[in-house]
Amino acid sequence: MRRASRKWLALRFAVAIVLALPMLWALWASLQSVDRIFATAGNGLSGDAMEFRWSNYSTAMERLPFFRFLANSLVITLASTIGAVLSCSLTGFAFARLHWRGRRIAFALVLLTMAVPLNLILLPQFLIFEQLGWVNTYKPLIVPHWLAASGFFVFLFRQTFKGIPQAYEDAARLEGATHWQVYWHVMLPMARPVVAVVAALSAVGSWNAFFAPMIYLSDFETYPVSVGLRMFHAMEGTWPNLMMAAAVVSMLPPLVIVLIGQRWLMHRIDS
Amino acid sequence: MGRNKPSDGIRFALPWIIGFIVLFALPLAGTALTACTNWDGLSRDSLHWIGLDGFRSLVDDRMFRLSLWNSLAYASINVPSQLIAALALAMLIRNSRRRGLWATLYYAPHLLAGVATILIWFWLLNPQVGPVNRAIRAICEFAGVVPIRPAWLYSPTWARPSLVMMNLWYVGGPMLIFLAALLRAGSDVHEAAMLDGATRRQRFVHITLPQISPAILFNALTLFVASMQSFEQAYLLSNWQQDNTLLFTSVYMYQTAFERHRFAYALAQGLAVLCMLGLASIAAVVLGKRFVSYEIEEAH
Repeated sequence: MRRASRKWLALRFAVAIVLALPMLWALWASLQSVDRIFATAGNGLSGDAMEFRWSNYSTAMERLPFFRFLANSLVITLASTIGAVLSCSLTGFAFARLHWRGRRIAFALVLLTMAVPLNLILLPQFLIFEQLGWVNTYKPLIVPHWLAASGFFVFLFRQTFKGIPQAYEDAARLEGATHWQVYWHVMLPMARPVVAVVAALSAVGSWNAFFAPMIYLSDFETYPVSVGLRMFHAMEGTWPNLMMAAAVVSMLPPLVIVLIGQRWLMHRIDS
Repeated sequence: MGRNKPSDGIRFALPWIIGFIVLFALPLAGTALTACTNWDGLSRDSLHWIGLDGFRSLVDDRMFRLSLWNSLAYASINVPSQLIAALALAMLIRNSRRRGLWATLYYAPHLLAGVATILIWFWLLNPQVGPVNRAIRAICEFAGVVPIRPAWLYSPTWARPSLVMMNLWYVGGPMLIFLAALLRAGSDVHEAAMLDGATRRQRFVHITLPQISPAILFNALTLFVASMQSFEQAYLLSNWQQDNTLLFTSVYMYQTAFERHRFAYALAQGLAVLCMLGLASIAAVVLGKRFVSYEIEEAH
């Protein structure tokens, strides 16, 4: 029994290593000279493999206005995430806790929108935002998040709010709380873990988004880092070390979210 | 509760109601109308109504048919490989005391997925200097066989498998869903079957698979839809040596709209693919009802 469990442990560990390898290679390549990455066996591959060229990072950041791209991404991500958390939780509250005509049909529509392939609905949405004159602005990238565009997040909030015992709401109502107060002072605080999950997933999604920003933005000063990376790839494609440096930098914010979120996720799965 | 007006709920759901109209209902209605014109996406000067001609030319459009075929061919290897890998990983860690740690480690690449990781893979799979082919060569030399050297993204045969391989790196998403289903199912039935002398294989086929069948259907359906609308990898990694094998429906749609400036025709394509996916999903759910058991206890 002991030996079998050690075998499984080794296998789990091996999978984790294999999954980490691409990132480790990117990190290594970002610190090397191009010659070293291109070197063939027996041709300089021994010796100074651990000599790091940190200057690759400053070089990569200077080739394109990368700090500008990072700042743009940050603005889009923050604005979208706040909107997603607020609008999806409000809507989830309406579905879970309030009675209104058409609620059941509306909720069926929420589930339906969860199944809509987002890449295919992008052009039809372009049609509308083009009419509104929103092309070349951040509005098409941010406003949908303020309109509870993600059916999945609405669904998550609705399930969470439904699970909160009625007694909490009743107690607040007895003291004269309005719907808004129940939502803000009772429901949202009790749903804090879900707020965190939605915020994390929404932020990562906005940060990594590529198709929509590429369609809507044509002025490169306004590019988020995803579109900027693609430009870098097109321009400096023969410099894998600089490319990897830029890629590593662009992944730092999602990585921070992973590091913050891992504690919670681990706890959730263990129990 | 007396102050509770029926309109209050609508007020709170207003963000979503507006969103549904502006982001889904209007675009789809506008698409159906615009697809019947010759709009180029730029000006309205020469705009006129062409009726269903756009949809008719879809049938004769060789490139559109090719793109559909490519997406289907891609989905048909991507979906099974994801399902198998996700289930294997979920089963690998389900009984671990530190399964939270493993699940988090395996899930992390899923959150990093973006242009950066696609470009990392672009270099990992470089046929000459990429570490993947270097590793293959080293292993082959060690084993004393003639090294194979797939050209990955620079070959029509290997381009789609390259994407499938890249996707295995992001398998943590569907894995979490399988893991949740496995944990929910528990081990009671397994223990009973073990007492009856059922082998490991029998237990997997007759207990585990039926127990998690709703999760299998869910994962299969979401993976299928995701594969059929896949854009970023194919768009970023396509080149002339792939012989159009990465021309997926969404890529062709993008090219039609923004490179050939036939916006209305691109909308017709999108609508056609949406309808096909919708029908396929409904069929999958209806057919799935026969194979998916939502209550394993009742079946026994």
